[in-house]
Amino acid sequence: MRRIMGGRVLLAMLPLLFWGVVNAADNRVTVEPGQAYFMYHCETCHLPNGTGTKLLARRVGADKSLLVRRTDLVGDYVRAVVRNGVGGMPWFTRVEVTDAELEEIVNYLTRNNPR
Amino acid sequence: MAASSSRRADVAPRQLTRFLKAVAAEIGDEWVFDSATDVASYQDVFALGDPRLHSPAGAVAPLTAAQVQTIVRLANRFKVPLWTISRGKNFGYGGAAPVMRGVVILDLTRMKRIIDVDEKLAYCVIEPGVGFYDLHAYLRANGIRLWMSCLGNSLGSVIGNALEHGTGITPYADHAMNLCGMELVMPDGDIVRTGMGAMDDNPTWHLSRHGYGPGWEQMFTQSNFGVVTRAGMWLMPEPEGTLSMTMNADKPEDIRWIVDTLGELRTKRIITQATTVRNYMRWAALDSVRSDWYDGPGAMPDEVIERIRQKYGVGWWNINFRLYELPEVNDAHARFIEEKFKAVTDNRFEISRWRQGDPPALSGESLPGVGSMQMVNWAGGRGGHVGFSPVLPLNGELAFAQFDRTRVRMKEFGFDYYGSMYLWERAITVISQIFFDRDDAQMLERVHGLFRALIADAAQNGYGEYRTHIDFMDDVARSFAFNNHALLRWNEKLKDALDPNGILSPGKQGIWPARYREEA
Repeated sequence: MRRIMGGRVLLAMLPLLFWGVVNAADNRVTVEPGQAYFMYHCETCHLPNGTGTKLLARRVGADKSLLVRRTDLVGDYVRAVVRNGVGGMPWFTRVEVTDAELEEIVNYLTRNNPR
Repeated sequence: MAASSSRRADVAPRQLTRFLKAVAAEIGDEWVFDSATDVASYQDVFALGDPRLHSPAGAVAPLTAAQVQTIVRLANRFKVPLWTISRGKNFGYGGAAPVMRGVVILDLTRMKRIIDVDEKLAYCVIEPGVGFYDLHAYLRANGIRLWMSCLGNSLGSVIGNALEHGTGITPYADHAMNLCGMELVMPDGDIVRTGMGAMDDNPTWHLSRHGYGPGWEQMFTQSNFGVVTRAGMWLMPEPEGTLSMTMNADKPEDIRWIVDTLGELRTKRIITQATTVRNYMRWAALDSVRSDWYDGPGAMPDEVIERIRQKYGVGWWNINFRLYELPEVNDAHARFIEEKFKAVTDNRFEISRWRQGDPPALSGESLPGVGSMQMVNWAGGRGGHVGFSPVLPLNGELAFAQFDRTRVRMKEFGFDYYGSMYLWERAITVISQIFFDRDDAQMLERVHGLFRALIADAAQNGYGEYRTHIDFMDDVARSFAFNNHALLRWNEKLKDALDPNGILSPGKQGIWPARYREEA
């Protein structure tokens, strides 16, 4: 099994491959970019029962510990945490999470906020 | 504080600006960074003091080996030293931060190509930006039945971790030994392929550890002699079955028979994985913080330790390992292991088995995770950790003595003892984790005092560390003192010959180029 897939294509698809979030009927991706970036960059920790979720439960309570369910996250706060870290969470450089990716993540995490 | 932190890159602001502009013209403005926020993002996440002591002046992030060549050549022209990181997640050892202030980070995070995976011959060829999660996702998505050797914190780079002599807990746990065939950008900007890769299109580049002539690969691990831009990594074929064996032991001194009995099984290759023995602190630190148990000064008293053990149902020491491959062979080996242990203890193993067709979650496959990041908050406040890890002969009495010395020192400096041991075939790495509050200046002073005492204690007994934090790279290098530090002198001779401008990672592992060397 050699040369399964070209590297550049792989890079673009990694967030999607990781979770296999693909609509089987037409093989089209059904997640918005922000969700894909959140899954790739953040859900290593911030998934149900994940390390980030457990640490947040200690700090803000279990009911607010799962980020994808939050309806009160402020964009600037998300940006500040990603760029500066908080508690045991390390920060992320602009190489690892680009500004454009971070904006998509912010959009995703604030999508359910009351307007 | 650290001697290394007193050094600063001698780069004038104008010179730095010209360098960054020249790099931007080659790789794009958006991949050159020098704002205060960006600079801070390359500081040590778990700094043992003021993180600005290890602050870079900027960062550049190439996408290709050709861009790395260009950057290294420009760095030579403008005399700007670089500090190479793969993904910068070397937590506990300095993260992305350089030893010396004022250098420019050469950040390889964008080099994320998975160039090749060969399922039959069980290896991959990857770039340094490929993380453990990336490679695992790729193997899963393509149904490739190869297993990785992952870490408690898997946010980092597969290659970067191997280059730092990182370890896992599988038969492929010695990650540097899985490296086979590298591509490097040398300090003069030339590109070199090691081993069989020195021949055009040789298909054994990543299959045979030996090429023709001297073998150079280990020289580029924990070093500043070149920039690895791709490497072959051997992976483990998914086994037919696994058999897990778990045993606890009640007393600190039990480590003697644990190490001697497991050690013989490791040397004989009955147990092929890097076998770990851990104390109760692992369970406590994963699930709680110190103040949940004890608020007093100094190390936790025995009564608290007993409560921790009761709550988690763990021993003072805890053994767990797996046997791999054919279930029948695993069973035979398990019987042999049980007999060996019956001769030294009344404790018995808990055994569980997995074979192909059983639920994959029970296989014991080493998966990427970040669980160990939960431990860093143990001491309270904004947490941090640093590990002290000398290498000893695989011998129970010596391991006990090292453990006991360390425990006494940690108590003396007011820290709880957290120990884990990694048993190799002939040596043992005795790891002690020190957890601290990043914002407690007095505690950080104690960490520095403790760490230097531990280096000295180990050296006095003839032992050295396998890896260390950027604050202590000079101290540990100095402890390797045979013949007036002949090895360090040799490394520096080599450094000056290969990298006369001192461009690549000055001070890495205590190896300084002439330009920044301080006479002892």
